[in-house]
Amino acid sequence: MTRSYLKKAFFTAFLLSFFLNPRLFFPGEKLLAIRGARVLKSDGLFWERCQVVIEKGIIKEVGPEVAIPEGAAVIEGENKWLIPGLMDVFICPTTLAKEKPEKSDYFNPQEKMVDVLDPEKYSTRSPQAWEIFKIHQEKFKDALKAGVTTLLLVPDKTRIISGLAGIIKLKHLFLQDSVLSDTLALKIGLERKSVEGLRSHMGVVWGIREFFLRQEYTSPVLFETNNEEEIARALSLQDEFGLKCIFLGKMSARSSYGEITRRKIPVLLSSPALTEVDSFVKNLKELLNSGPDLALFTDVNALNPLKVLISLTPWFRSGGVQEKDIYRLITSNFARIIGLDPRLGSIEKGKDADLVLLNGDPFQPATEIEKVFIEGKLVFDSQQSHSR
Amino acid sequence: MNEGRQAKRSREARWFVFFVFAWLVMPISAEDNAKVSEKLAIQAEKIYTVSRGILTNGLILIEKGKIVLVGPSEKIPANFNLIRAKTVIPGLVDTHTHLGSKSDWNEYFNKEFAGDTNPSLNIMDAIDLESVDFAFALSGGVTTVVVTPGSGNIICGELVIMKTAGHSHQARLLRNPAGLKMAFDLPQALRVVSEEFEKARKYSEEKKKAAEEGKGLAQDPQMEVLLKVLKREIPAHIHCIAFYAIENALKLKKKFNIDIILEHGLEADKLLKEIKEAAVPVSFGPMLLKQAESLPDPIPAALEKAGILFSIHSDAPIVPPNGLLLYAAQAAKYGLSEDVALRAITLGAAEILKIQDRVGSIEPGKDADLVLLDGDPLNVFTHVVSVVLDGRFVYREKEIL
Repeated sequence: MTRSYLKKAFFTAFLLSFFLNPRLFFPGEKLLAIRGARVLKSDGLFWERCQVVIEKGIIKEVGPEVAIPEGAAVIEGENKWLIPGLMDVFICPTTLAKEKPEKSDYFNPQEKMVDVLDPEKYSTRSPQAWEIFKIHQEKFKDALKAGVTTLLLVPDKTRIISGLAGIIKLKHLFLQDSVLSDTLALKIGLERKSVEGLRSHMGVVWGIREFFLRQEYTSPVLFETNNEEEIARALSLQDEFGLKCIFLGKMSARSSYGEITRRKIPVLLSSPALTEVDSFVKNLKELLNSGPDLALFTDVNALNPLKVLISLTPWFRSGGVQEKDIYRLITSNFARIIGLDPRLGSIEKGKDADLVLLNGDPFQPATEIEKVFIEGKLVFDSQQSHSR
Repeated sequence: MNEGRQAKRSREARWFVFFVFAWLVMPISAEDNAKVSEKLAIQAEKIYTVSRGILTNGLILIEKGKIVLVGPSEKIPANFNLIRAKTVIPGLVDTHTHLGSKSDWNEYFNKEFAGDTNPSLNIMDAIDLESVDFAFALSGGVTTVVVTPGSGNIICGELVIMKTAGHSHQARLLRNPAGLKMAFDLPQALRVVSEEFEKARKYSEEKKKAAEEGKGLAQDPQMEVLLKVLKREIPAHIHCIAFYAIENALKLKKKFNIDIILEHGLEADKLLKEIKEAAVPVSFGPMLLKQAESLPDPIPAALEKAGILFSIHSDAPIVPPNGLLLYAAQAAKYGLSEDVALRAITLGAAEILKIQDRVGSIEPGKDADLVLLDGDPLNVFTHVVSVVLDGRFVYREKEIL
C-alpha cells in the first residue's frame, strides 16, 4: 500500500519537474551580444569596434553601427579580436581487419570516419580501440581550446580506398547530432602496399580503376596527392571516370598547379615539417597566384592552426604571403571546399555563431584564446579554466 | 671634397647609362627568345637525313616545332634564328626501355605477378616525369622512347610511346596504348596466351550477340585490351630471349593472325629464315651484354643479311639509355653496314613502331627532333652537342658552335 503511494508521489514529482522547467515558460533563448571587438571580415580584413548580435545560435546582425538590443547578455569585446571558428583536418587512424591482409582488404569504401564519435561502433574494431577513442576525445577537447570548431575527418593511408570522410562540429563530443556530413567524399591514397597485386604503381591504379569500373560513382573523391606522380595519376583517373575531385596533401609539384586550376579542383594543403618550410611557402605562394580553391590544414593532427601558422610567420613575411590570405585559408575557403559556406567560415548575418574571442592579434605568439562559442553557446572560457 | 662629389656623379651616371641600356636591351632579348622557339634555321656541314642520304652544307628550317625545309644551304630567310652545326642527325628512337618507371620495373615487381596475365595494367600509371632517366636518355640524343612494363608476367600490360622532354604527360605522349607487352620466357606462355585470346574471341562473340538482341553486356577491360590486339589495332611486343621463345611467338602470330614485334631476339640468328618468312620485325638488344647462348654483337649484321626489318634498343636501365649511338657503332664494327646501323636507331625503329610519319628522319613535315653532333655519328669519340625536340633546345652539352 505504502509502496504504491510512494510510486505515485515519485511519478507526480517527475511530471511536475517537467512542467516547472523554466525553459518551457521562457522558450526563446536570450539574445547574446559582443560589443566593440575587432571583427574579422570575409575578405581577411578587420572591422574596428564592431558589434555582433546572436540569436538562437545564428548571427542576427553584425557591423560597427549595429545597436545592441535591450535585454541582451553583453560580452565586452573592447580591445579584443573576434574571428570565426577555425577549421582543420583530423586524420583518423584506421586498421586492417586481418593479420595477413589480401588485396581486397585495402579497398573499404563503406567505413565512415564520423564513427569516431560513436563509442559502440568504435570499440568493435580492436581491443585497444577504447583507449584510442579516449585519446581522440582528449584531442578534440584540446582542439576546441585552440579555437577549432569544425573538423574534417579523413581516414589515413593504411588502405588505398580507405573510407568516407565526414565533417563534425565539436559541439557534443559523444553525440551524433554534431555530425554535419558523414559522406562528404571517398578517400583514395595512391601509395604502393606490400601485398600481391599492389606492389607496383600500375597495380594500385588498376585496383582503383577496377573499383570505378564496377559502379557508377558520382559523389566527390578525396585524393591524397603529395608529389608529381600522385597528382598525375589522380588527374588521369579524373579524366577517365569524370570524378569530382578534392586534392589533399603536400602538393609539391608546382608545374601541375595550372592544370589543377584549369580543372577547378579544390586543394587542401597540409602544413609542412620544419625541414620543408621553404618549399612549402613557395608552393603556397604559387597556389595563391595560380588560383585554385585553396585551404590549409595542420599536418600530424596538431589541430592547432593558429599556433602552427604563427611559427611560420617569418617565412610568410619573407615569402610575401599576406596575413589576410592566411585567414581565408583556415576559415572561409575551407568552408567553401567542404560545401558548408552558407553556414560556416565567416562572421556574417545568417551564419552559425561559431566564434573565437582572443585578447590580442591572433598572429602574435603571446595572444590567448579567451572564449569559444559554437552556435552561440559558450564551450570554452579561459577564466573558468575548463570547458563545458 | 670636389673629387668625391665628381666620383659620386660619375657613379650615378654609370648607373643611369646601365639602366637606359638595360631598358633598351631587355625587351629585344625577350622577343628574340620567343623567335628562337618559333623559327629556327640550322646550317650544317653534314646532314644525315636517313631517308635521302647525306646532305653536305645543308640547311634545315624549323617552324612551330616542325621541319619545313631541308635543302642545300642558300640564303636564310629573315626572322629565322641561325644556328651552325657540324653534323645533324634525326632524334634517336629507342624501341624498348623502362625509363622513369624504375619502381615498377625492379625485380620485386617481376615477382609480384609472376606467371600471371595482366593485360589491363598500363605503364603510364607508373611513369615519373621528374625522373632523371629522361635527361639521361636526352644526353645521348634519344628523343622518342617506348616505355614498357617489366617482363615478370606472361601478359605484362600496355606500353606507351613518348618523347623524352615536355612539361606534362599529354605533351610527351605519342601513343597510349601503343602495344601489349608479353613475355615468352616461360614454356607455358604460348598455351596461356592462346587460352586468353580464345576467351577474348568468345567474349567478343557474346558482345556481338548481346548487341544484336539489344542487351548491354558489362565491359571486361582485360578482354577489351586483348581484343585490340586481335583486331590488329595494337601490336604485341613479345619478350623472347631464347630461340624457343621466338618459335612460340611466331606460332602465336600464325594462329591468331596478329601483329607482333620480337623484343630482344638475342638468339634470332638461329631462326633467320623463319623470321623472314613471317615478316616479323625485331627490336634487337641490349648490345654489349651476353645474356643468351650467342653473343649479341654480330646478330644485327646477320639480320641485315637476311633482310629482316630491325631496330637496336638499349633496354635501359639494363645498359645506359644514352649509349644508343655506341650500340649501333658496335653492331657496325661486327659487320653491319653504317647506313643500316644509323637506320636501326632512327627511321627503322620508327617504321617498326609505325610512327614514321612523325619521327625518324629529317624530312619536311616531320617533328623537329634533331641531334647536333661534333663529328660522324658512328665514331665513338663524337659528342652530342645539343638536342632539339619539337623545335626547342632541350639539351646542350656546351655552347652552340
